[in-house]
Amino acid sequence: MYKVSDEGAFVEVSLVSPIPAISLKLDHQNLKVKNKIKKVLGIGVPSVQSITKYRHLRLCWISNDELLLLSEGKEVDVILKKISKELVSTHSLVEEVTDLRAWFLLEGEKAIDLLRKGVPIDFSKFDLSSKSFFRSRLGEMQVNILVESKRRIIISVLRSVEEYACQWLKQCSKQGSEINFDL
Amino acid sequence: MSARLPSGGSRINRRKKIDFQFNGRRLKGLEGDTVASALLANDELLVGRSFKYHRPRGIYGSGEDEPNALMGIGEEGNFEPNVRATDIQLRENLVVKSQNHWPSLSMDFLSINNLLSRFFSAGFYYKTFIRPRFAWKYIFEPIIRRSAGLGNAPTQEDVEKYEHVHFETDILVVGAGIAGITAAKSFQDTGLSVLLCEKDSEFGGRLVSDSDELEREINHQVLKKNLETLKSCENVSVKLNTCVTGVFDHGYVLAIEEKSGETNSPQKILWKIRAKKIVLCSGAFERPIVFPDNDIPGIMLASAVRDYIEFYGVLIGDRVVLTTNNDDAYKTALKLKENGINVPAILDARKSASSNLVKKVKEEGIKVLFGKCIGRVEGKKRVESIGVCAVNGQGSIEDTIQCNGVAVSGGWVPNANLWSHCGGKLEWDKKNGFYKPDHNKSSIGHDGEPNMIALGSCSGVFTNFEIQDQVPRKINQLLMGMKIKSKRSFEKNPFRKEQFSADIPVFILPHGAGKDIEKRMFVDFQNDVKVTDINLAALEGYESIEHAKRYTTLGMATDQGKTSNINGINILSKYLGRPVEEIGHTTFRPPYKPIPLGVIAGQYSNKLFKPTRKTPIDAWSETNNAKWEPVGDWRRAYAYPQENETISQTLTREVLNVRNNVGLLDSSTLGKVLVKGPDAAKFLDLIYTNKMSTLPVGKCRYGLMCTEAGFVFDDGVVARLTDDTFLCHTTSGGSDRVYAWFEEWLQTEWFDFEVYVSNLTEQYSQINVVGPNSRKLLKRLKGISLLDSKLPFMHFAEGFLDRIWVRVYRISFSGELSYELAVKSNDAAVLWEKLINLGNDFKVEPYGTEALHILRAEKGFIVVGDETDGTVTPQDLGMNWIVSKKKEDFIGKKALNLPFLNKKNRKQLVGILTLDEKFVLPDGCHAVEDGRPIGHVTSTYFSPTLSRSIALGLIEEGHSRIGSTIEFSVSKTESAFGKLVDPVFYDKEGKKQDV
Repeated sequence: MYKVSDEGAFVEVSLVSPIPAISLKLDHQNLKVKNKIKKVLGIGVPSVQSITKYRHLRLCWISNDELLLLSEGKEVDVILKKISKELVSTHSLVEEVTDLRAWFLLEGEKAIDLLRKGVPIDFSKFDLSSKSFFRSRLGEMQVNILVESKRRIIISVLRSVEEYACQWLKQCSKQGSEINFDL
Repeated sequence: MSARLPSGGSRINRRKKIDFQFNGRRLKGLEGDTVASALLANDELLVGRSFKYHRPRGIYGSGEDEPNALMGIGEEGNFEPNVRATDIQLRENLVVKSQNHWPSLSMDFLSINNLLSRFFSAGFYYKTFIRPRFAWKYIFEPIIRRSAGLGNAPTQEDVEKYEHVHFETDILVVGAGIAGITAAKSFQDTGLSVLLCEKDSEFGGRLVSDSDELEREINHQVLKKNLETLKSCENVSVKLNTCVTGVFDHGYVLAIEEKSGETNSPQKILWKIRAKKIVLCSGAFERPIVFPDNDIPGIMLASAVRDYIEFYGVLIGDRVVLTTNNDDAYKTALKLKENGINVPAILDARKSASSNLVKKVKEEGIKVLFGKCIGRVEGKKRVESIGVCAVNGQGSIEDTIQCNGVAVSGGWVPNANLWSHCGGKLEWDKKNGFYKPDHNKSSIGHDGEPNMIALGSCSGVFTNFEIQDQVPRKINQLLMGMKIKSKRSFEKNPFRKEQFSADIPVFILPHGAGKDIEKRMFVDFQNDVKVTDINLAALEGYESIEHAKRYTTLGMATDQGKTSNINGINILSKYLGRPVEEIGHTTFRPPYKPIPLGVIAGQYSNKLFKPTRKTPIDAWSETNNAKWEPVGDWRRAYAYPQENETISQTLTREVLNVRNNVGLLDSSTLGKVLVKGPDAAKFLDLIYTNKMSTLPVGKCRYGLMCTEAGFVFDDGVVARLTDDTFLCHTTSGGSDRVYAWFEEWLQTEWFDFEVYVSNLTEQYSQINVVGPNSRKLLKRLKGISLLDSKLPFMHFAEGFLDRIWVRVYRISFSGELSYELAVKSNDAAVLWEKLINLGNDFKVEPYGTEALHILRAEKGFIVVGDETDGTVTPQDLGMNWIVSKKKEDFIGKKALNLPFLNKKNRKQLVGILTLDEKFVLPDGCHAVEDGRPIGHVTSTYFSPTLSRSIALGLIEEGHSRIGSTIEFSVSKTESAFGKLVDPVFYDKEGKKQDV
């Protein structure tokens, strides 16, 4: 873990180790497919913009035909093989994508405010105390946002812009640049 | 003279003095001052010169409607031109400079324009300066541009900090005057989120400042109570110092927050707001009356005179005359009197008035002259006296009054700018003489429903009593429309009903003024538009207000005519003898007030200007002296110069090392799109011009993609991983484009195909190991066999090399024995360093993109974007071999058969060998024949392998010209000659790559 934000920043930002990840492109609305996922991962398919969790696995909703599986453990190869085997007769694309992204941890009461500086999502619509997952942009970067709680958010960007993302998060989290309201 | 009062000023701190500079002179202001109030406190009445005539101008307003006091603020990297002095908070050591004069503000030689004003009427530049023809460009225009205009653009980098913020709200309330506050609190307990934005630093608008002594305490208490209620509304967020500057489609609103005092944090923040409904409570502007000599410093809007006294304890003068047509201006007279200022007279255009205000003024002993107006103002750089004339006369002076200030009021007009930004219509209020929002024609939201309501004075309702009556009622209606029930009960109206004498809408006075007087009447101060200019426009046929506006530039200055539009429209109406409703109005456009470009850029400047994509090997290259070049969004190592090497020497070394030993290239930027599904082969057959369905598993094939128009779009090697899985490589800049292209076709045309695509460009990095020693080098890593028998040319294999998973492609973009190693990106840097450190005896060296280009050009390989420009077909490139004749269809097939794309004289790719072997043709230079361009050079290099210059070019009928010599224009005066040859310069048989 490498601290990105300055001392006194209104949100503490850290670059974290890559999270083992598998991309699943498939018709996850289909009941048979849902059951297969449940069988192999022990985890239900998440609803729109949310995640489901089972032990060390988190399944994130990316789109109507894509899910992202995040594993806290290191056995991503094993999981990949298991899923591929289970889905062999199902039209799907299952691929490891661990190396695709860089991950950052945002911690602090105003973590959402930091994202507001670059992410055009209406966060107010969501109950951020529960597990939510968003795909959007952060400035010009593609971003995935995993809200663990209001004060703990994990985001990922493409690995090629990791350095740019560090600079962005460092600058925008500086002390004194909080979003404040009057009255 | 203007001066600071000994007491008063609700916004200033008299104990905290602030030093600032105005045009090089050190002056003192107070904490809380604006630049305008501080200048007035220092008796600086003359603050600028007008745009065209360079007439002396003074501060006219107190807010964003100020047309005259435009300043250059700050120094060096903090400099900002054209800032209204009324909008800027005074800061310690602030440097303020007036604009548009030479050599000084006081003595401006360019004011000669004023004497020549008869030559500078509206549209003068369309009529004069026609001959001699050359003079416009070289003499007239440069002179005009130097002598007319606003401030100078900054010459140094902006050091201020800016940021953007995204914010979503159900309700946006614009303006925190009494209407805005009442509106915002009306949403309490509705469950709707509300954002209240106020451009000023205080709540209440004019509620307290415009109150008389009796009302003041009541209004203050009302405001306090309302703010307490607002504070208790958990659903309401409030932003002060935040000016809404633009309303766009579907409730997208931009607002600028201005911060002061914090140097390390952003000074200006652009709020990008999405609002379901907008409640506009933006108040009103005071409209001036146009009269002769009305632009002399010392003349000011009556409300501004009040503001400066109330907020800053500053006076415009100690003998102030008022000219008006309404009761409101009488408040100014009382305020002046209250502060011990002599008010010699009020010139009221009305025949009579008998409201309480008028009575009170009379009781104070102020002389009220009904039916009178100003016929002349004496003074050059400040008002010295005024001449009184009859409203209905021609301007004959009946009396002269000595004074050093004039307060002018033509009544209030709704500030409906934001209403108009996104298509809201205005309606003419004949009785009051202003345009106001037409509630039946509001802008439309995302759901097709009206998304804006106007309340308070911006809707034409001006008294506190009426506003308090209107706002809750209208908000309730809005909530009903949104199917939300308000839990709030209507409160008792805390204000008393005010009695006013009726205004009479007058715009220019005196009514009978002739041309000689009209030419001394300014309508638009910022653009120097006079009554005679508008009349001239009408005379010359510019009868539409939109045409007259453009011909005269009325309302086209940075203030967008906030003080001039209504007067201008009425002057045109009067001249044409047509009702104002027929004349119509111009359109207000964002931004509501000028904003710096920096705030639009936000945090996206310097390091954050644009993301630069970097490969996992970037850090190694950086520490090993790589020179960089941009390739799409990536930065790639152009070359790796060694000590004391020129770039040319580096390129020669890198190329020859690849040809003779082994080179390493970081090609991680190549796009990698995975295509999988039962229909993947069928899909790729339609995407590529050649057949991919026949590609066996384990093999690679080069493919070319065309657009529907038949032009080359992208290219790359396709590897078949399994029966239903293909990995398609794209150009470095093309991965996102190609991925989107695949998705688009799958989602729109071939939605019944069972195919998924995934962009894995960054999951895998790629290292090219190239040269005759490449196999030997790789053999040193334990793992998969790379023998030719195991991994022949155009095949790939997967496995481990030194315990690192790799997919090895036996392909070549250089013509040499070559292995391209795809590796998981997190392992790329490790593998790269292993390879570098393993092969000293094989002379392994990295090479950059320029050597790559030389190597491929020697082999005659194309690069999409160099040899193609969106108008080049595969046939033009001599690549007919890659266009399948057997396939029933593919993207571009129909177009490629069109006669136009098969015309004989199309530009075709050829190789070029200059007659002078050492001369390298300039990139892009034209091939000419009989003085006519017949093509251009697409790639050109000095080939270290061949020890001579080589080039590729697109030349008309190039294929049939091979063997001929043609001319290339290399500069205006010089030519070079080159022989056209086959584009493959090196190893035409391809023996070296297939060993």
